[in-house]
This record gives sequence, structure tokens and C-alpha cells, in this order.
Amino acid sequence: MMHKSQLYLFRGFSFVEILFAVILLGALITPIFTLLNQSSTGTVQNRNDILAQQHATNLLAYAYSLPYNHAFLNAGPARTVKELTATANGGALDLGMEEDLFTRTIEVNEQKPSDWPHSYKILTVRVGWKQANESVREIKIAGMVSQ
Amino acid sequence: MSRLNCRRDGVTLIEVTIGVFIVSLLLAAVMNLFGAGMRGSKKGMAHLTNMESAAILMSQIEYDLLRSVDLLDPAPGVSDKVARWKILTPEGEGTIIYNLLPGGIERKLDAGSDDQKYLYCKGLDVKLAFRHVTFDSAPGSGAKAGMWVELSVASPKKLGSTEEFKMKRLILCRNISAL
Repeated sequence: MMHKSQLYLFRGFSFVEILFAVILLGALITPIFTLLNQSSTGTVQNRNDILAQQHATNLLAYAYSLPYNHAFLNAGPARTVKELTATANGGALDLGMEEDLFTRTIEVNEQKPSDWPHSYKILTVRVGWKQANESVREIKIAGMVSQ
Repeated sequence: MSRLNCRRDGVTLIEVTIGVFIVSLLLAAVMNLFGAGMRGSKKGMAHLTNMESAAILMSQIEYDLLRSVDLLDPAPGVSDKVARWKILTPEGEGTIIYNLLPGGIERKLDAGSDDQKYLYCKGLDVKLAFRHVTFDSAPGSGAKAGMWVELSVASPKKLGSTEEFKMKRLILCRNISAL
């Protein structure tokens, strides 16, 4: 006949013990996956930053290419410019944004200083997008055109 | 020792087999998840390298074009993988040349005694096109010139998959006011 303490050695694992072990394993593995996930989130964020910069500077470059009194440069509040095709050398340049992720606006503010013979316009381009964590990010670039 | 106690002394082959089977199932699931994570991370790293290389090269092209005083190649309205333009340097004039080579993109500054050569996007699959564009301006003020630059940087093909990053930039040469 075995002693009670000897019998204890031969019993199997209880459900609670297995559950505890699985939770412990999960807790140990989670940081590794979080790390991997964070690296890809950072890459996407960098990519969006670069593309947003591209969309903003392309719009600003287009604005610089226009005559001062062009309708596109009429003073007014911020307006959305998603699709944009410029004409150069008789051909078309697609300056639109392929991704639906981004929104782009331009605001034109004309200044006519009384003590200065020339007027000028301040152009403010904003490109915004929603990140993976649902937070909204925006970059702003400003430029100036003069008569 | 009773017969029951003898039977409890070791682990049977069936128990070992079932144990190994369960552990291998768990390991396979974990390794599968880990492998997917690693593949995603590697893809991300490759994409990051491409983005950085493209952004650095595009910044250099923009910096050079903003200093340009005369666009030599390609001709207006023409697109090419080679471009040349003149810039002003402290010593006088210099010529910037961008050339798409099999191993990357070569930037060369030809400025007499101060020649510089550098290879961008080394070891990456690169596509580059410069299109010389001119825009009509207000009557009497001449045309405005610029470059439409299309750049694509991809990591070398491994197991049939590749990461690619594309950029398209319109860069206006503000020093060139009339052509």
C-alpha cells in the first residue's frame, strides 16, 4: 500500500495548472509579436509620411507653375484637391493621389500691403490621413507666389 | 511492492507518443505564428530600405534641380533615364548628371577641378525617368521649367516576391524663369 504523499507524485496535471501554464506561455510570447507588429506599423507610418510629403510638394509645385492670376490661385478658404492633372508641353501630368487614404487641401490667402507696391499670395497645403490606430495625422507646407 | 505500484513506475509509450504529439501541435502553431511575424518584419525592413533610399535620392535630385540654371537633357517634353543640367557653384558653373546604371543610380558633378561621383540605391532594382516639362505662364513673363521625376525602388527578387516603393515628383526649377 502506498503512502498518501507518494500517490500525490503520480497524479496528473489539473485543469488549473494547464491553464496557468498556457497563460504564462502566452504572456511570454506576446511581447515578441508586439515587437514584430510595431516594426511594421512604423514602416507604414514612414511610408505615409513620405507619400504625404510628395502629395503636398507636388501640389505646391503645380501652384508655383501657374500665373499669379490663375483661377486655381484665387484667394479663399481651404478647398480639397484630390484629382489634379497639369498640362505641360501639350501632355498631361497626373498629380492626383492614388490612395484614398489621404486628403489634400489648399488655402490661398492674398496679401496687399499698403506700404508695398506688389501683392502676394500665401499658399498653405495640408495633407491628412488616418493611421492604423485611428488617430489622424497631418502635414502642412506653406509657400508664396508674388506678382 | 504491489502490482499496481509497479505499473506506475514509468511512462508508457502511448503516453509519450500522445505527449509528443500535443507538444508538436502547440509548437507548430507557435512557430507558424512566429514565422508569419518574421516574414512580415522582413518585408517591412525591405520596404523601409527602399523608402529610405528613394527619399534620399529624391531629396538630392530636388536639391540639385532647385540650383539648376539650365536644363540640358532631356529636351522639353521628352522623357529619359539620363538627365543633365547646369548649376552654379562657388567656382563658377558645374554640370549635374544622373544616370541609371544596372547597380544603381549614379550622380556625377562635373565642375572642373571639383568632380564628384556617387552611386545611389546600390544593389536595389531601380527605375528612373526624368521628363523635362515647361509650363506656359502669364503673357510676357516667359515659361516655367521643371522636371517630372518618376522613381521606383525595389528590393532584389527573393523567392518570387519583391517589395517596391514608387515616388512621383514635380520639381519646378525656380531659377529658370524664361526659356
